[in-house]
Amino acid sequence: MTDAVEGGVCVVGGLPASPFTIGLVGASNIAMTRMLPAFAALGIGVRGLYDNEPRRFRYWADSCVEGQTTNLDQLLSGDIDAVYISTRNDQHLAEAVAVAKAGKHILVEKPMTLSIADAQTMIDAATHNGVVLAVNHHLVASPLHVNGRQLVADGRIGNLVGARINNAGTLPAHLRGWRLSNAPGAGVILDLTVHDASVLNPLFGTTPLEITAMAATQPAWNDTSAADSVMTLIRYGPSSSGADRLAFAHDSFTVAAPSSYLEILGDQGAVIRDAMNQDTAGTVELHTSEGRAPVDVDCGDDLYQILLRAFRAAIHGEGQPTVTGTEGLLALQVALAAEQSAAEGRTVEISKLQLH
Amino acid sequence: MSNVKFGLIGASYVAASRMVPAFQANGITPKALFDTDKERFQFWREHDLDLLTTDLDELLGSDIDAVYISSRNDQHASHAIAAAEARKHIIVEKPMALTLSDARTIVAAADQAGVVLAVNHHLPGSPLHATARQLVADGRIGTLYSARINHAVLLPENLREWRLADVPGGGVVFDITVHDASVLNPLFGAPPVRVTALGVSQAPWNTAGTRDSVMTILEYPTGDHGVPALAQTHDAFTVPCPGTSMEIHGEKGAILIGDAMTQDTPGTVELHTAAGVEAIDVDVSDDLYHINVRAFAAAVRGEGRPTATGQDGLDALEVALAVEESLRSGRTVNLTELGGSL
Repeated sequence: MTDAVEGGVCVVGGLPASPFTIGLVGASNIAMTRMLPAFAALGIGVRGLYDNEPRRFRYWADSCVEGQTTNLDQLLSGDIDAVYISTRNDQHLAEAVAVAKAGKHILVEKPMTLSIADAQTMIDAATHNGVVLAVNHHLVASPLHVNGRQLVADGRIGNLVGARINNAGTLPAHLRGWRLSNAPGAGVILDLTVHDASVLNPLFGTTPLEITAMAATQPAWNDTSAADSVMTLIRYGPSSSGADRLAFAHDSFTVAAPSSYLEILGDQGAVIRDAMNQDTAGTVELHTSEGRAPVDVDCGDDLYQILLRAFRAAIHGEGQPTVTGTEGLLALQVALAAEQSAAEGRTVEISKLQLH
Repeated sequence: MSNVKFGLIGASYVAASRMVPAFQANGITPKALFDTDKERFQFWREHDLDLLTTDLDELLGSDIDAVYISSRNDQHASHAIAAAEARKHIIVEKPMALTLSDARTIVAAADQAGVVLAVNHHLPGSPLHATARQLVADGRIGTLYSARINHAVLLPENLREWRLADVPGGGVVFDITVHDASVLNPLFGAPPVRVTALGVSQAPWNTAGTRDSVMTILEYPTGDHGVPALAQTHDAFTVPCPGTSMEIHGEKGAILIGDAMTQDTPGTVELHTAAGVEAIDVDVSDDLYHINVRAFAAAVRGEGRPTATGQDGLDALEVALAVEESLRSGRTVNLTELGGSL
C-alpha cells in the first residue's frame, strides 16, 4: 500500500492526510465502538479483520470492514501499513511479534502484555524489525492530563508531593465478559489500574519505587475470582527537592461513584474532573490559598484520534507515539506490582518485581 | 441532678481553645487543673480555676466527678488509670494511649471502677458523619462497598512541634489516621481486618524526618450482606489544598462529604444516585466538642453512651498501630496478629 501510493495525498474533511491502511487483530468492542470512528475521522483505511473466534464476526456484519479471517498470516500478507491489536490480553504478545516480523507497525491495546518479560519481548521484536510500537493508553495525551502536567512543569502547583485518582464506577452489564472471568489478565487491575499508572508515571516524571494494594470481589453479579475493586498506593522517587511522593488510586467496577477525578497535590493543588473517562469533556481547576479558578482546556478532540495522529506521525518518522512500548511497560509494571501485592499481602518493590 | 464537675489533666492548647468553651456551653465550669509543668499555668490565669496543681492526687482528691485528660499521649494511660481508681469519669484525648495494652488497661480500669470512659474523637459525633451513617443504614446507596478519606492538610506553623517529633506518638499516623479510623469503623460497623500503608517525609520544615504524608488501605470485614469492603485514606501535614473530604460508595449510589474532617467548617453532604445529585440538609451549627461533652454528661447521668467509647478509641488506636507496623515491615498487617505486643 505504501509503495503503491507513495507521495500521494488523499484529502479527508478538507485536511490533507497521508494515506495509511490498518488491519484489525481482534473483533473487539473497543475496535468497533472507539477505533473504527477514529480511523474514519482521520481517513485511515481499515483493511482486514482477524479473530480466532469466528462467532465474533457476526457483530461486524454492518461494519463495512472486509477481509474477515481466522488466519493471522492472511491478514498480515494484505496491503496494510499497520495493525491494531485488541484481542484478549494474553494473546497480544504472539500476535504483536508476528506483526513485527511481517514489517507492520503496531498499535496494541493496553495492557500490552501480562508480564514484564513478555512486554520486553514485544519491544525487542518491534525494535529488531524497525517498526513503530505504540500502546493504546487513551488518557496520556488527553488535553486534561497534558494540562495537568503543564501546570506542574510551569510551577503552578509548586512542589508536587502527591496525587490521588478516583477511577471507580459501575461496569456496564454488556462489558461484564472477559473482564470478569477466570481468564489470564481479567480483573480490574489490568483493566483500570494500568490506565492510572499511564498518567501518574509521566505526571511524577520519576520511577515508581514501591506499590501496595488490596483487592476485593464484591457484587453478586461477579461470580468469578477476578477482583472487581482495588485500592493501590504508589511511592514515586524524589522530586528536585529530594523528597519521595505518594499516589493512590481507587479502581472499581462495582460502585455507583460520582465522576472520576485526578487530584494533583503540591503547594497549590489542581483537580481534574472526569479525568479518567473515554468521552466526557472534563474540567481542570486550580486550587490555591486564594480559592479556586478554572483552567481553560480545549477538550474538543477525540482521545483516540490524538493517539492515532501521533502514531501515524511516528510511522512517518516524526516524533514518538503518545505511549511507546517502554512507557506501556512502565505502566504495566505498576499494575503487576499491585496484583502481586494484593496476592501476597506485602509491599512490592518495582525493582524486584517478578518478570514472568 | 447537678452538672458534672470537671478537673483538667493537662494544661494543653486543645483544653483551653476547644474544651473549656465546650464545657461552658454545657453549663460546666472546670474548677481544677493539673499539669506536671507549672510553667504552663501562666496561660490559665484568666480561667478562674480554684486549683492549679502539679500533684495529680490533689486534683483527684478535689471536689470533681470527672476529668478531661489532654496531657502528652504517652502520659494518658497512667493519668486515666489513676482517675479511674479515684472513681472519676474520664474523657481522654485521642489517641487514648500509644500501645494496645495501655488502651486495654484503661478500658478495664474504667469498667472495674464503674466510671464512664470517653475518647475525645470529635468526628464520629459530627452531624455530617452521623447523617452519612444514617443514609447508609436507610439503604440509600445500597450495599456498602468502599470509602475514601482525603485528610491531607497543611500543618499550621504553630503546631509543628511534638506532632513532627521523632518520639512515641509523633508523626501523622497518631495525629490524623486515628481520626479516619474513628469514623470509618462505625461506618462499616466493625474494626478493619487488615491494613497496608506507604509513608514518606516530605516537608522541608520537617527536620525530624518523621512521616508527614501517609496513605493507607483498609479492608473491612464481610458484613450481613457477605461482601468485604475497602477504604483508602490520605493523611498529610504537607498538602494545603483542596481540603478534606470523604466519599462513601455503594452499589446504588455514593455519599460525598465536603470539609469532612475539619474541626470547624460547616461541611456539606451530597447523595449521588441514578436519580441525580441531592444536597442533604444537615444542621451543622453545633460545635463538635459541645456534642461530645453533652453526650458524655448524659452518659454520666446514665443516659446513652459517649460519642466515642473507650472501646471505640481502642479500635481506632489499633488501626494506627497496624498502619505503623505496616510502614515498618512493608507488609499488609492483619489486626488479629497485633495481639498485646504493641
